[in-house]
Amino acid sequence: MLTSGIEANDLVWAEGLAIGRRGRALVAGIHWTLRSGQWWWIEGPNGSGKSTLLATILGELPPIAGRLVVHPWIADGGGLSVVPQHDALLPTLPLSVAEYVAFAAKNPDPAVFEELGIAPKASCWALSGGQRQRARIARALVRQPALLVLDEPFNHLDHESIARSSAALVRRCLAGATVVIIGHQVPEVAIPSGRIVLDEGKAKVTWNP
Amino acid sequence: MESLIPAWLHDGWPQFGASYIAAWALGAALPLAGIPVVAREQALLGVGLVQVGACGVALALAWAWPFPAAWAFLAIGAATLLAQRPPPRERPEAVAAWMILAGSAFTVLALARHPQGAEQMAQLQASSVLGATWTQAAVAIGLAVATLCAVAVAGRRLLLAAWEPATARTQGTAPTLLTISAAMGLALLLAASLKVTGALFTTALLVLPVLISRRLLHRLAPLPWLAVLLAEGAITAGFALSWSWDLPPAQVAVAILGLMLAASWAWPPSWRA
Repeated sequence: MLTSGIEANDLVWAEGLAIGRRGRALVAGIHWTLRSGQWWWIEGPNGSGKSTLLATILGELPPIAGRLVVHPWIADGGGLSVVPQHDALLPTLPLSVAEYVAFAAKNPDPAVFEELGIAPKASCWALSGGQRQRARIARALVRQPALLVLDEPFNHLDHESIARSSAALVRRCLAGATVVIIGHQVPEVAIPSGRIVLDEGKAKVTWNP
Repeated sequence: MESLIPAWLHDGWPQFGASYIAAWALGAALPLAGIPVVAREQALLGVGLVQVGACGVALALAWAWPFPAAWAFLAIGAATLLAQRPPPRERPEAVAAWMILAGSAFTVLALARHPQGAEQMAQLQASSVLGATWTQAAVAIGLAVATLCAVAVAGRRLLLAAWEPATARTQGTAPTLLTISAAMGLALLLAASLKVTGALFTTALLVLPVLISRRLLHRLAPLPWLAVLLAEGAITAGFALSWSWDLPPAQVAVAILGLMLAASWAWPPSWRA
């Protein structure tokens, strides 16, 4: 049964949401609806609550106040892919790119390697920073998620890596996936359909249909 | 036909058959169990864990505790190891140092007033693969089969939970539950191995084959099999050399693995090619 105000294709619905850690609100008064096929950008200075918002949506942190409804597809992880800001793509054991991607899907579509310009047989230990980030995005894409969340995906990337990665994300968005990017640097190839700016405990949500 | 079987195996079988089987079975199980330990960059913590386990076995011997008591002791240590997180809690090397030092001290204290304390301590710390019973060999085989099944069923999820707990959670894995289950299994295997062999053999087989294998490979898939192959090779060579030169086989096997790791450091890692 849906709560009043929520529609069936809403992936995330927040009303008067306050987020924070250990009971202390970092940002309050978030009103936000995330639907299929949208491209959202969440930005703000360091410590403004971007990663806290992500952790709250993913169920890792409880909301401090307000209402938050997350679609069951997302809540149980089945339709969700996350590219975390820090992960172990410098693994402590030998790992090829194909094996790294296969952690998300047993038989990944090989086209994703060509799309992102990475060699599946390459060792993760031998990749450049840009190639590593493209491998992370490839792993998120092979799950064919309904919602893709990327935390600072374009940090320290060269132009080619940004262009390839964002082009792949735009293609998924046009095919119906929802993309949420947390970061500072908006790539020129994609204009977000919505933007949340977190600053000084407030959230400014703008929507560009 | 008999001439094809090496003397150490043919002539030694009536006396040491159970020891051979137990050592080979543990040689299959310990490197597989060591993969998540090395994956977490906790090789030194693995050493500390075995020391804590030795302390648990020592307490069990001294006070005639049942074997589950030693296992429980190890399980707490294993859970501590696998639940390690970076600062601000504590740095892993500090926990490793604590485990090794406190474990060693309490092992000695536990056996200090035991009638065969010195002998028991020497066996625990120095290791001897000779003297296993057929029951112990059967237990070791059972543990090897269980470890193999656990790696086949949950190995990938365990590695993902070690490397990226958040990502594991989005894929429907409960990292904490999986880690606790792995810690219990690891504790059971280590407790059995400590009882049958000792701290040196157990620690070496847990971490050295995986440390060597990761230097030689650029893919994960063959790593478990290479690690087991290296361990079995070292154990077999240990039995053969110790038969010819009258040396303790566990120490020979560990020395071979130690030399192999040192040689692998001189060898350019395959992933750089």
